[in-house]
Amino acid sequence: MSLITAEKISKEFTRKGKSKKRFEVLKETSFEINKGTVTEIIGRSGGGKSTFVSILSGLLQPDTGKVYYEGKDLYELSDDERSKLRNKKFGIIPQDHMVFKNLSVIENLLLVKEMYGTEDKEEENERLAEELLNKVGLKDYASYKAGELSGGELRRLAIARALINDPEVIFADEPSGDLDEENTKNVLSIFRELTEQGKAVILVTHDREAIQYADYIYRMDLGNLKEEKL
Amino acid sequence: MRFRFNLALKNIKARAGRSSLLIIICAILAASVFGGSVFIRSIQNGLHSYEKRLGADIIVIPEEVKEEGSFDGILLQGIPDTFYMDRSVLEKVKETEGVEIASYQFFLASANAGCCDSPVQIIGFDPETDFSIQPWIREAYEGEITDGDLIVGSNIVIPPNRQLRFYNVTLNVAAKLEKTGTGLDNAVFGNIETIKSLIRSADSLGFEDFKDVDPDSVISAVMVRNEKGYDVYKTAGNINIPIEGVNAVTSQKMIYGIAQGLKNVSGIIGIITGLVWVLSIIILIALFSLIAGERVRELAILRITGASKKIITGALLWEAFLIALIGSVSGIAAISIVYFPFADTIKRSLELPVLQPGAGFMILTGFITIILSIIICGVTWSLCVLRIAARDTGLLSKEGV
Ligand SMILES: Nc1ncnc2c1ncn2[C@@H]1O[C@H](COP(=O)(O)OP(=O)(O)OP(=O)(O)O)[C@@H](O)[C@H]1O
Ligand SMILES: [Mg+2]
Repeated sequence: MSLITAEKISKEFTRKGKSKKRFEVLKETSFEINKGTVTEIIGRSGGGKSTFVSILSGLLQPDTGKVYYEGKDLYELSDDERSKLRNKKFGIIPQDHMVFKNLSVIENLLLVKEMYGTEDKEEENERLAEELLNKVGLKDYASYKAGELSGGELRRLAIARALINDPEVIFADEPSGDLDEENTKNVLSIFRELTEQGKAVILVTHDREAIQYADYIYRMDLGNLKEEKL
Repeated sequence: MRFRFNLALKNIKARAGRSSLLIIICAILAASVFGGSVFIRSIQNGLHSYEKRLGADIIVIPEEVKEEGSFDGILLQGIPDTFYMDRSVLEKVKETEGVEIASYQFFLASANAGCCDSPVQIIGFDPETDFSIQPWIREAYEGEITDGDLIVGSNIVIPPNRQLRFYNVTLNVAAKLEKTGTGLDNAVFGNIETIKSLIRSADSLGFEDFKDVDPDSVISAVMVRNEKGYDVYKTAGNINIPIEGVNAVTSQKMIYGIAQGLKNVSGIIGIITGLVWVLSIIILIALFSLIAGERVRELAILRITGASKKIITGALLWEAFLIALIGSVSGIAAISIVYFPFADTIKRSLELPVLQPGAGFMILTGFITIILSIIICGVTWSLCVLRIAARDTGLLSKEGV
């Protein structure tokens, strides 16, 4: 069953150089994400993969077309509604290390959990956060300042954070970029496990290993999205 | 709501260095406004009470009291002094055109009174004709002021037995006057009979102080109330020209000097405060802009994890509010700790009457200062940071938004 549907979406950017040339990052594309599947997006650098994921996750409005989540037009929703949906239903693992480096590891997770008013369930939230940290191999790091973590540890923190609200869709933009083989396997198996619970995973990756976990593979090239045979 | 507040608090704590810097600048802003306002108000109050306590339109003093010098000393700074002129001046002044009432005063400067650390000014007045001191005394004391009674200025310490000794004469303290911020706070007042008894006693004890002073034939000053509708400067001239050896000064002229001083001091404080403000606001804007760079990243994280623009704006405003609040409250506290203990020293060095405003004024000024800081901080903050909160293109594809 389709969880996210993109209809004829496209996006242009203006390069801020002297020439101010407009270029199409995403040519008119339709796309579907189904429950219980891992969808992988591969393609060369600068091809528009991250832009595509931004549009699907409600962070970047497309120039044309529509994105539906469970039948709701994402960009027709108010900012409040769309943001809350992103918090509750989407788990986003950004390409850069986007965590609060001045907060502790666990605070980074709780922040997301408490955003829409569950501060009163403090103990429960903490237990959940610790469980997730355990899952990504950051068991003993809960009270560390996030700024003290290594690249791979930050990545795993971002993964745990994306899962804290038990989302329906996980958007992972090159999550294995700075992970070793063991951690990559672990993360991929977590994703697999989630699909077994009926969640959907969108995975942008260059990783050969990941191919084995994919239900669908798409290649993004110069704004064109093409499905690849498995 | 609670999340926004908590997020703001977390942000302040997580960036302790950055936050303290902002808090310090807000504190400086608040301290300059609060300190400046209270100080200017103190001088205004002082001037006002000085004007009120002078109580006469014209004051006639011996000519050798050059340009009100020591008279100013008595009135403004409470430096005890004495000067005398012939008693006949009083009668002459009374008969002068434009004079409605004239009453004399008699000044004694005592040595250590056994009551105070410093010598005090003793001022004798004539209860029959006095119009400048008694109305003031009436505010503090309703009863009769009889021979041997003293009314003391607010700086005089009253012993438990309510008696003060001067030259071995024991006098009753009938009342203490309200603070005026002028030299009169260091003076004691009594009727002329009381003064005479002091002089007699001083002479018999062998003090040289008043050897040549005969209270029956000399006086120190004549206080004049001007006839309504008669030009006060003309009256002063009417006194100055025919009567030898005296100087009639209008109270307007005396106050003018102080008002001028007040104007200068207020002007300087105004300029300093203005400079502090311009500088602080420039620093604040510069800092906020610097912070905005870091902020872009923080805001991107919040957006990605599902914070709405409302939540982000709310948290940012809370942060500005908390910084301004903490900053201005500590600024006011700091300036109070620095200023109030030194208020007396400042007062002396300025040679202006300084009367601290009441608690009501302080609280109101403090309150306004805090509000002002919050507005300034909020506006500059909004200019620098909130506009970023409104943008969010390509959060995932570009780190810098
Ligand atoms: N906000 C923006 N403004 C202008 N150009 C942008 C913006 N975001 C992305 N681009 C450009 O769009 C193109 C696609 O970027 P995108 O980040 O989507 O690529 P990508 O496929 O994720 O690359 P990589 O594999 O390196 O992460 C790039 O050329 C990039 O410079
Ligand atoms: Mg990318």
